[in-house]
Amino acid sequence: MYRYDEFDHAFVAQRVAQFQNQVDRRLDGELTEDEFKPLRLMNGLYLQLHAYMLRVAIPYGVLSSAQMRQLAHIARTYDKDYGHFTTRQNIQYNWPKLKDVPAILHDLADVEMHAIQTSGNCIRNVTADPYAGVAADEVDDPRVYAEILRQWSTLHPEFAFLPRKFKFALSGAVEDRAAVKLHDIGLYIRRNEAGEVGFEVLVGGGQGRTPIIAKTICDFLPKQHLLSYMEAIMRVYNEHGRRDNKYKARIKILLNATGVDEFRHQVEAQWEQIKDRDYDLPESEMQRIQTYFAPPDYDVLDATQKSFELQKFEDPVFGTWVKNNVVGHKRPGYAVANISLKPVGGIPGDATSEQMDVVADLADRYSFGEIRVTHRQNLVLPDVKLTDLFALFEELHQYGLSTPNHGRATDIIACPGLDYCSLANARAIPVAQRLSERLHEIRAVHDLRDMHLNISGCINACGHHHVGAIGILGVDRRGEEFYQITLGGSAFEDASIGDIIGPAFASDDVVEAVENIIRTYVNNREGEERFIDTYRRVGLKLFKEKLYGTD
Amino acid sequence: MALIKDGELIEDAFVTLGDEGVIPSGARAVIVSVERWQTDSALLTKSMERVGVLLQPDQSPDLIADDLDKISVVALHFPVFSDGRGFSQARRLRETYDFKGEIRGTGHLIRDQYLFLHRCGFNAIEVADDVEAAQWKIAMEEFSLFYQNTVDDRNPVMRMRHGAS
Repeated sequence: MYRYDEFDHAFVAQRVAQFQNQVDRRLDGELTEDEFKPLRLMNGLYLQLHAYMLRVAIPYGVLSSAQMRQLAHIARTYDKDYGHFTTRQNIQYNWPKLKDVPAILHDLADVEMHAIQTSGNCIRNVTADPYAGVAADEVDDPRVYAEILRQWSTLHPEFAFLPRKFKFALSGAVEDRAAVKLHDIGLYIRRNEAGEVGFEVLVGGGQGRTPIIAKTICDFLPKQHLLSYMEAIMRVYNEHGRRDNKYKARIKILLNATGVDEFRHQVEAQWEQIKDRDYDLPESEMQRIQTYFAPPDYDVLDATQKSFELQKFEDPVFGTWVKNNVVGHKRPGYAVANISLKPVGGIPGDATSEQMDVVADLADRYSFGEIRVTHRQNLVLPDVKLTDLFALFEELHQYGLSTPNHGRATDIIACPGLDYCSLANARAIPVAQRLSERLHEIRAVHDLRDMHLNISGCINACGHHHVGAIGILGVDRRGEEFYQITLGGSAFEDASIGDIIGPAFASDDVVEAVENIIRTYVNNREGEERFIDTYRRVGLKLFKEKLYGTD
Repeated sequence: MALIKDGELIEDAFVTLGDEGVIPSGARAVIVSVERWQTDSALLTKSMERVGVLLQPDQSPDLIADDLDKISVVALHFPVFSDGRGFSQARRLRETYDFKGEIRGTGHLIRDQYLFLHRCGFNAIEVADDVEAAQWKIAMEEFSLFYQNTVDDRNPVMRMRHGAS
């Protein structure tokens, strides 16, 4: 993985010193909260319902074991012994004290991490496929380009005061595991006919109150032009994005108002002006970054391991975990192990300090010391030998980390909702917990693949409800929490926005409604069909009739 | 108003005019709106030693592109510090039009933005008379390392890594 060099270290140290100074000015009373706000927001520090919240970037979801241990240390020392992994490959601490934040940033800097641009109207943490570098279906490794974009976007002087926040995601694989089409800029790594690497550039995806699937503005951008082309897009957005209404300020609104062809024309006109101005990375620098992502020292192994096959057979609980949570690896004899942070009845994405330490130790022993964080709020050990999976499983089991529900109905995405967030209209966590408990009781549900349930506590959609196979949105109805249900969303390469099924449900009735929908799916699916495919085949009407009756 | 130019507080030699007002007697340098420039440019260039033009954030530098050799100062207005359009306007003036004159920021700016402004091509900022220039200077010097190549002459990290000084 990428390691800081002397320049990166010095840079982050300067940032910590700057923020220490800003916090001192606030604590002295030199800065009012209003004046402090834009400064803290450039460093991921929010003021929530009950306390400050610090959001720490996990660039493109890659963590070393040492970094994970430090995240545990921070939770233990400055917070309430846990952290929350988010849908943008970040971790949030919900209870830090303002006076401690510079010390936390210091601790982060010690392990090459920071909270720069995890909030504010700027380019946020760049996210990517959590299986990057190990996926069997990969064209090229997105981590290389994600790191290039991370550096370029860090304190970019022109784009620190955009009309609104701005999110990048990358995937280099056939299957889109990074929700690329739901980002302000999405990049798919492609190869052209000559075998050269480049990007399909998509713009204007997003969720929130106006969910839109990104549109392709460039089919193939040669990789050497990445940064200058991104600068051109950002400049068009910075100059022309709406600033009169924050709900219409994202690039998706500009793109729709301008039209794809005119927008592309504007970007290319801008790009013509700057493409030869040395804003792109020199080849030598691209190669330097690439070397950090060289494959680890894999053993040469057989694709089939007898002992592993035997263990699956002898221990069906292990067998189920393997079937659900373990996926193929590009190297024979290795596997990608998904660690669920969705225990039955638990809080999606939360991990205790102890669990973080355990995962760090397991990564050291079984996965070259590396961990990934997914946008579905789970963890991944990317490089586990088949013959180590059983030992890994047994240890995960001891710490409540072996829930075999990867991509299953109980693998629920949920935002913090009204339990923490000042924007929320309704709670998301208790609904997720009740759903998880109920759906876990129904045996038939366990085997349903790609049964994505996503819950947001408000229209800002941090819980990705628009793209859940079943989406649940908390709304406030005269002071009471209600939940609107959508069906048929997808965050994958076949991305789609869910359709609202009908009137919202009171909190007490949501679980039953979801159960009803899943039952309709099970009763109407053909063979092993996924929910999304059944839904697309039979349509909303059937689900609606079964849910609300035909009257 | 005072001016911070290259880190120092100096007196502003320019008078900013409204669209209608007469030019104060004795004024040698004025800043006018694009609209006034478009009607009065001949008169202004004849009667003044130096002329500046003020662009609002929704006014493209393209509007004055053909006149830049007659313009000493382009002032870019920030109605509120979080409106970042001026950063792109400044870069386009330096990049597309190779403007060598003064680019000044006016309106609501905070010192924590000074470094970003400077990196985008601003070399002067209008500030209140009682502002402490020293603090702005500190804000400019909080970083010595940069991840982007821009229109300033700071050497970006990606070049330092490969031996360019």
